[in-house]
Amino acid sequence: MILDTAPILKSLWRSKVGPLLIIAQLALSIAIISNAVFFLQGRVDKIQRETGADSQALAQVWVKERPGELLRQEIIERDLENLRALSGVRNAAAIGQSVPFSHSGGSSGFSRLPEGDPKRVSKPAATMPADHAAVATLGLTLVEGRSFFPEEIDYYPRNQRPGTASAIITESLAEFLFEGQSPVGQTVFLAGAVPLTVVGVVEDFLGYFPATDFAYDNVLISAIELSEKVNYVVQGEDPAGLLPGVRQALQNTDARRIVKDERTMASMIRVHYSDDYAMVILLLLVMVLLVFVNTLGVVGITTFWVNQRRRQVGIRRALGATRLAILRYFLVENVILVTLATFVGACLALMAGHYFTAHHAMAALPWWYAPFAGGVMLIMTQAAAWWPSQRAARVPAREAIAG
Amino acid sequence: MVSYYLRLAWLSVKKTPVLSALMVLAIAMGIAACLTTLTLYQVVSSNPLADKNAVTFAVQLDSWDPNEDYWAVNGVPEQLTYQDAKAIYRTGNADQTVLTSRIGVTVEATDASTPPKVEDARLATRDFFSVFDVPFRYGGPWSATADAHGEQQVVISTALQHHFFAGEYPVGKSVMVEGEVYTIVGVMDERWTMTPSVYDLNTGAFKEPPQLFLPFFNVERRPFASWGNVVGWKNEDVRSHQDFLATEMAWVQTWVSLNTPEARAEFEQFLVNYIHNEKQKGRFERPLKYYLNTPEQWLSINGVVSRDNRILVYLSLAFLAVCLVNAVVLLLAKFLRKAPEAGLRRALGASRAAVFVQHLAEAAVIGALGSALGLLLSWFGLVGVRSLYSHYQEVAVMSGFTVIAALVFALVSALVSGALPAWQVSRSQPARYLKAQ
Repeated sequence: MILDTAPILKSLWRSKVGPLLIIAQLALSIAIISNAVFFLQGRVDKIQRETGADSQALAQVWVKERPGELLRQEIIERDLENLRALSGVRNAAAIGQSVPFSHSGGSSGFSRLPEGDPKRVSKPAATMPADHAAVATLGLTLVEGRSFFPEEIDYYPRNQRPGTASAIITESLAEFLFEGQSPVGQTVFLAGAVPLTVVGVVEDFLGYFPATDFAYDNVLISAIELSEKVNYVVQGEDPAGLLPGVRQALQNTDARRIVKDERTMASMIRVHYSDDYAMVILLLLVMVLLVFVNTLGVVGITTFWVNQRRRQVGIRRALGATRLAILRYFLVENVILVTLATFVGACLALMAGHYFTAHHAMAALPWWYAPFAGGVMLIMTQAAAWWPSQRAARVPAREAIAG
Repeated sequence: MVSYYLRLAWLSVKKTPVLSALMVLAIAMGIAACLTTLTLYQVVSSNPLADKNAVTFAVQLDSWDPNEDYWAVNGVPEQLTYQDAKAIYRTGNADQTVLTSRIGVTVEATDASTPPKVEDARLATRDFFSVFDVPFRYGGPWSATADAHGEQQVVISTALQHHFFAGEYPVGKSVMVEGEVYTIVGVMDERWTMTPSVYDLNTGAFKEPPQLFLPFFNVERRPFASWGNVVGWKNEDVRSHQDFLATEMAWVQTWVSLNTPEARAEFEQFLVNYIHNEKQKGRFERPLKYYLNTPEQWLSINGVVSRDNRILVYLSLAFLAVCLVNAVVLLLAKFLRKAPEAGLRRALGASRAAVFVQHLAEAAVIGALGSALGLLLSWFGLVGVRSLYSHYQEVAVMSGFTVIAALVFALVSALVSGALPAWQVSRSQPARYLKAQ
């Protein structure tokens, strides 16, 4: 037997406790690492999903008029003019509420049929009152129809909501409501009561609170309420650099109104995913530490075994075994331990995965994660076992008669 | 005897400094990971109203859409409509009634000497202060009359007191809130932060306390900008603020305290009668349903402990298990190498138990060192958690809990990692080793 598997197994069997413990340690580590990699991958996919907007070029800010005063259309238009005049600003738009990733917004049910119709099917979606520049400023991609016309935007006083307006909807919502037909020119009902004419369809983008079920269902509406507050979104090459200028431009017109929360879309996205970023870092840390602890364990146990068997090694050398054969002996021993541990670890990993699926509504762990983690562990532990095994290979033949 | 064993253990630890250091380090990392996640978990899962859990209740009434269930929590809206909340305040007769809602307001000095600020505020009835244990630095809550009529009085934070009055005694002075003059009746102590913020879990459970409290019924007079959730299902024609107050929109968080079982029974009877009465008027079209949730139930329904919190605890416990098994393997290796010494001791008359205890002492020394280092590392772990999670600033802090947990871990890790190797070495046959020597 070229790899000495039989004598290795026999000698492992004889000492039992040590090998069993090291198998337990490796198996547990493989189970943890495979589940951790799986969690990690889920988080990375989530963080990296497309926002559907030109997020890296955007910044937002909101203004609130003096107490008791409401915004007027002229004020909003003047603000936008001032913002567009800033150097570095490519475009600017007013958005009533539900700015992407702002965690503040509103939603409503949308349907093709009005309330009272028994066949009415409704789907919740974010409502985004927005002006004619919003599609271009946010960097949304029109797939059908058109953006709003400037003359189409209806700035209405508080509590005087107009009877109708135009709407631009995302592809997901269009697909749900119109099932492949073209929505342009059709009517959708807001809350089953307010008819809106669809003038355009845009590619999906993530809305004001992407953790909701309707993250990709957004409706831009051409009517903006003149309340005390409005959001502005600006687009430019360097959005972070625009922030001081944006604040100044808005505050200059009235020192006693509130200009607040000027920030880049990139920073809003970071805040939104902060728990996921934290989890990614913690999971990576756990994996690194696990590999470290295991490496430590393998170095320790192999060193011990080498010392314990100096005599046997000496005898084998005296009987003509090459250094390579000795080295191979200890490394194959390690392969056997890791292979056994991978089997046990895979069972543990699948059991843990099953628990998370059943109790925490998570996706099932694919079967090949544990063998993969076992493979990585094998590489790391072979490297760890190399150093003590080499020392074994250098044991001289005279050890056979030493002591 | 104990000190003798400990001295032997220390000598043995020093004899293999690298191996011992590696064992201590491994145990320390496992313990630090567990201390960090458990400290976080303990605070996140705590109930700040535990002492009045039996008498304080969050009220939920099912006034939702007859055709569809409410989409979140337990299928009933977390908040009440204005008219229902007001009915509970006026006629519910509970021992204490808290109606509250999160708003954002512009605050200015009366002489416009400082730039206006927008602040996080709450509309609340005065029982909020006693139910949620808000301590006062100066003054106190507004009067019952001011409460019932929604007078222009205000309780402010210590931070606002410093901002507007530079620390002067502020009670009786005024500030402008949303352009109106409000008289200051009290200043909250800055110690008040409720973690988790059980009074309002809709916009996050770990947030800074509000800067101002206004008597709830000011909302009868004028609108305020909500910084919380306003949820509705019905399309209603709203042409004025009074119309808004009369809608089916749910936005008022409602709590009651009911100090005796009789009071609770009476209050429940009141709710049943009230809902029946409203059904006659065409409201509450769904089957009769209401909930009185204890703070503990409320925290659980609102999912304050996140899935990530749980996963991290499992992960760190599994990690500690690996570290301990690792320590067992290394200790076993080390003890068996010293087996000849043990054999010699046995031949000289030491009992198996004595050899066992001697070796367990070494495991205890390593466990204790590992725990001490682990406690130190967990301090850095918590600093790390605070920098990773912006909303755990108040949460991820070392406490008595952390220290006690560290002691428990020290004991457990010493026993777990030491018992098996010590037992193995205590079984060694003296004859065999004596011969080998």
